Amino acid sequence: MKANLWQWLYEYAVGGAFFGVTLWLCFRLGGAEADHPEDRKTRLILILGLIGYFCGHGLWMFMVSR
Amino acid sequence: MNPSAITGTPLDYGIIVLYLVGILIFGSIFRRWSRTTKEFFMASQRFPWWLIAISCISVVVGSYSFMKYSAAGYSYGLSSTMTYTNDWFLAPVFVLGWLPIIYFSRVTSIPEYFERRFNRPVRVAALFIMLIYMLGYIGFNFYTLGIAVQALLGKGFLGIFGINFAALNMGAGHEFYQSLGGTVLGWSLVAALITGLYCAFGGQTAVIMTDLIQATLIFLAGMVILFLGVHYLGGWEALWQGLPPGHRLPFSGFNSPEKFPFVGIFWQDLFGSSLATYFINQGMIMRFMSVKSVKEGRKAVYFVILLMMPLAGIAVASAGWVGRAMRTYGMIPADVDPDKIFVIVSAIICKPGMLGLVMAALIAAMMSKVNALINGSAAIFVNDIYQPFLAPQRTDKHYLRTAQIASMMVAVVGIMLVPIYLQKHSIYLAHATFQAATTPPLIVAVLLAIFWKRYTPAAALATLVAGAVAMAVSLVWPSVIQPFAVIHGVGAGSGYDYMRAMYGMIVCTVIGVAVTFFTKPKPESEIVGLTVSTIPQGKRLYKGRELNDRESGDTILVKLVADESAGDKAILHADELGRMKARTGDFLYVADRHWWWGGLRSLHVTAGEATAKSGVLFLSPAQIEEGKLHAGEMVKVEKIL
Repeated sequence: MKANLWQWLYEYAVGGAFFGVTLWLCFRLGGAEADHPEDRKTRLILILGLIGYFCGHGLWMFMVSR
Repeated sequence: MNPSAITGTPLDYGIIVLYLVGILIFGSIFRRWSRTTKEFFMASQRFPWWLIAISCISVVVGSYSFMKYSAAGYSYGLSSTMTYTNDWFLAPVFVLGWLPIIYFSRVTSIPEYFERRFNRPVRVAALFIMLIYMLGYIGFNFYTLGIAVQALLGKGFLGIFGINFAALNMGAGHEFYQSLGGTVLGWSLVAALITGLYCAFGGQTAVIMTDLIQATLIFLAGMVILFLGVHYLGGWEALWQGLPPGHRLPFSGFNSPEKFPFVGIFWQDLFGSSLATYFINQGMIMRFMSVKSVKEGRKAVYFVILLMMPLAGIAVASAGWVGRAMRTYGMIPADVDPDKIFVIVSAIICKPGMLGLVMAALIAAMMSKVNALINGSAAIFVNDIYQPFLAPQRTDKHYLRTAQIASMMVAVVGIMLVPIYLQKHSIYLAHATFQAATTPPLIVAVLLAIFWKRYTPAAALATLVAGAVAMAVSLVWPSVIQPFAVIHGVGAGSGYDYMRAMYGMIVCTVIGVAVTFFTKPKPESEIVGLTVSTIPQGKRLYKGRELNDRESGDTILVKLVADESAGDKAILHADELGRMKARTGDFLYVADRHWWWGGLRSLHVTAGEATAKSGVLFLSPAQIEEGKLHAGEMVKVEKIL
């Protein structure tokens, strides 16, 4: 776990920042609308997908280090 | 065991020949789906998400992926999957920004987008860069296929068909590549001929439908190698225990080893390769232009990145993991060359017939990657050169014929590059270098173009031209990358190559932003639908009236009836329109009720005034013919927009 901790944090900090900023911009600039059901659903799927990858990588590291 | 090549059995060769003949016939039958340029290039926007998703895998897996990632898997373990598991970071800007922009604006190529968003000089600059990039890339894929196949089967295989291209191996070149010359060119020629033919016949429909078979084959071969390898080792536990502890982790060392550092791979792959794949790869753009709606395009992205990319990462690298476990148990020598591990493992575990499957998968990986590039290059030639500059105001039939000829010519140009790559390996390196130099400027130009309305035509041109110069400077004097490498603890040499993407992204962004502040933007009224902030207006322009996309209705099943009076409209009962939450003037999608047609029998049509008769859909015979539908049969209808 320790051997990969920094990589894991870096990936999700830098990649997550790009993800978060671009997602925010799409809604902030009006390309996607917070009151549009389809856009809301898309945002939820995107965030859940990110959490899924984050947890998946974390779980993988944890299982290896057990 | 001979680690340099494997001797196939007649069964293996039979499978390969069967595959080649089969894919040519299968691809060619889609000629009737390519009777207009819209059908040829965009397949009339008819395909469901799952077909596009499977097709997308072909963009990321090439013939050399098996060799390259098996070597990485052998040397660095499961962290070889890093490049296949980080694309989700790009998903928001793609599904909420780029996808609706290209879909609703109906652009057919990136250069065309640049002209509409900026002006013609920017289009020409992008056109120049993209054509060199794509044609060189086609040649590169033909070339690497030849290398990969030769590595597996040696030089003698094509001899069984009486083919001998050795005489074409011209002059003095790199010793290794020269020694491969004859067979490499022979394999490349066979693959180019078949791919060029079915692309010319079937256009984008053939590309997407053949991808279905080719992607299946790629996954099947990868999984066969994994399962046979695990069986050979004695089970999953044996595979796991055979990997050194450091090889079981998802990431490699932060800034080491030199040739596979995490931070270098992260920047090079995510902000170089992956961004380029999703935003400037013409093949990828055209796949998403072929999807039946933006909603379906989003589903395709979810499926690709969440499921298929990790699976592809396993498929291409599994031979390396199996090989590393074999080494632990002393089944193969400890000093084996990682670049040959795919061949070695295949030689040990493949039974007769299996090798043929693996070979067919390698060819499939190349053909599916190249077919989209051929179609994409033909689209750029027709839409960005021929139609605007050489022969404006001709009939659609004329442009369709030109597109078909262009597809064959692109394949020919690609094949002509193979002897050049063989003869002068430095040219292959030059193309790789050119690609590295031009990708960041194009990516930055696209990202600034979609997010920043103020971004000016002069700034876009400066980003492309000055950005490419800045990238070239980094190739001549790599020390300019040093600040970006040093802060990550990455050393000189390969480390600089990995951090070049970060350097390029930052330098190009600075150029684009700086020039924008001193130059004049294009009026907002001229860029409607081409930036993120104007997507809703672009959507309205696409539909031609007010949107009705907030409520999702049901998909209904009705009987199709031919009626000349329907004109270009779809006539349904008011109750059925109500069930779909649709109104007169909305865009509907009519398709055969059987899912396995995958949209081949389908049509986009506008809802007309309601009729009194329920349970039926009235379409004109011309519309029915266009959708390849049959009157009297049940069809599915859903509201799109």
